[in-house]
Amino acid sequence: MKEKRENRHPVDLLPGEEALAGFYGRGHGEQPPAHLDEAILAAARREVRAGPRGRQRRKREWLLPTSLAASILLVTGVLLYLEFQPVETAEIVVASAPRPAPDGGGAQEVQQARATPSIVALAEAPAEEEPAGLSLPAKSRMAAPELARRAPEDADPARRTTTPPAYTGSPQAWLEEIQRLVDAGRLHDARRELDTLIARHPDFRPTELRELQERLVNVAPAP
Amino acid sequence: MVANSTLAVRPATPRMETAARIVPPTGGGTPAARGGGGAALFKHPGIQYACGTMDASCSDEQLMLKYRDGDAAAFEILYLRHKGPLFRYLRRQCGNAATCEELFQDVWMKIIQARERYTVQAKFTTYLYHIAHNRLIDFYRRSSKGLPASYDQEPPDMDSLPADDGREPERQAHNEKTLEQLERLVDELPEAQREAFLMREQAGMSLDEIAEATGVNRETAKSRLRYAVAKLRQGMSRLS
Repeated sequence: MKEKRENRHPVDLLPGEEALAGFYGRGHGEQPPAHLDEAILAAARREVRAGPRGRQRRKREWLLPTSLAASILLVTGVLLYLEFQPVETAEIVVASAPRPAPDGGGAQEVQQARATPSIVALAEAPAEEEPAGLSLPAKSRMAAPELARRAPEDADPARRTTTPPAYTGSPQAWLEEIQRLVDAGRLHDARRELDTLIARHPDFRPTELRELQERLVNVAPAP
Repeated sequence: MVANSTLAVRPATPRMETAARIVPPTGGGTPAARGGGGAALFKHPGIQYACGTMDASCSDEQLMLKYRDGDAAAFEILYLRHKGPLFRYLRRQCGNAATCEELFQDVWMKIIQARERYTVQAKFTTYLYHIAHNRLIDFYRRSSKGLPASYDQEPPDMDSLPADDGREPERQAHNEKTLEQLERLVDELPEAQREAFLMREQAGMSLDEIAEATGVNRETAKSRLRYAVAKLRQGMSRLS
């Protein structure tokens, strides 16, 4: 017994402790109840079984912040791409695209260019058909998906002549563009644009507009 | 005891319920060579971190590392070794049986839940009783009485104890009545001194381990234990 005790506390056995401990040790066999044993051991086994799940849970804790960071990065990257990429493309294309003659003599060239269903056709279109208020840079800043979406319908010559894209500039510039359409003899297009202008800007009623309205009153709007 | 073994086995503690007797390992070579979960961790000199087979030659730390690595059987051996001493320690310290059971379960659940983070930083016994001590302190603080004063005070002066008559309690007749008297004397000890005595006698912890588990320095742990031993001896002498 003494040897065992000294094995336990080779250095710091206190005087008188050995005898007391030997005495105290007898009959002190109180144990936890069986239901506690079962509960604890069952929990231990459950924890082992759930071990990988625990690790997965910790991984899942990282999943949300990581996903958010990745999403933000992706969106930022796409926005930056859209901000800069189309500008370069459109400007390059416009720089190399044929320009119509002021007298309208380049109509054939323009028609050929329009026939090509590409961004090139779209990029040159504003110089030809669109209202003056819609400048090239504004158009060229259009997002690439938007360009791609519009390209097929804009590339259709028949459609382009009858359904020019909706004007988004100021009412006055729009009116001037309608006046140009009238001057060019495209009365049906002018009527349709006029109707659209009036619908969008009901309070915009200058004299020129009323005059145009009277002039086109018998003209059917282009479909 | 296991002198012919190359594996140094933690000395047996008289009052620990070992699930199996200490047996020499079946394999040869160093513990690391014999393999086992967590074999690469050699942080504390004197503590073996790997054992080749699942037997009682595995130290507590080896068993806990095995449990961390997914061996539920290792935990069962560990639990059987320590459940009795820990239960009796808590039983004497908190008095109430229901509370004791709650604390006991909490302590083991903490061990279970922390298994994946377990690394050997100290002896498992120290780790276990450190958790138990902290849980007990929380219990004291939540109770209406608050933290017992003995945890904040220095142990009473040894000179204040009546002189020991020199009789050895061990030589007294050991009957049920005497045991009850000793239990009562243990219960009458201040909590901090009783804790040191129970850690020593129930868990077989050294003074350094008691100090580490209870968060005090060695001298304080020693003072508490000395006071407890002296008080019990004096009480037993008086009763005889």
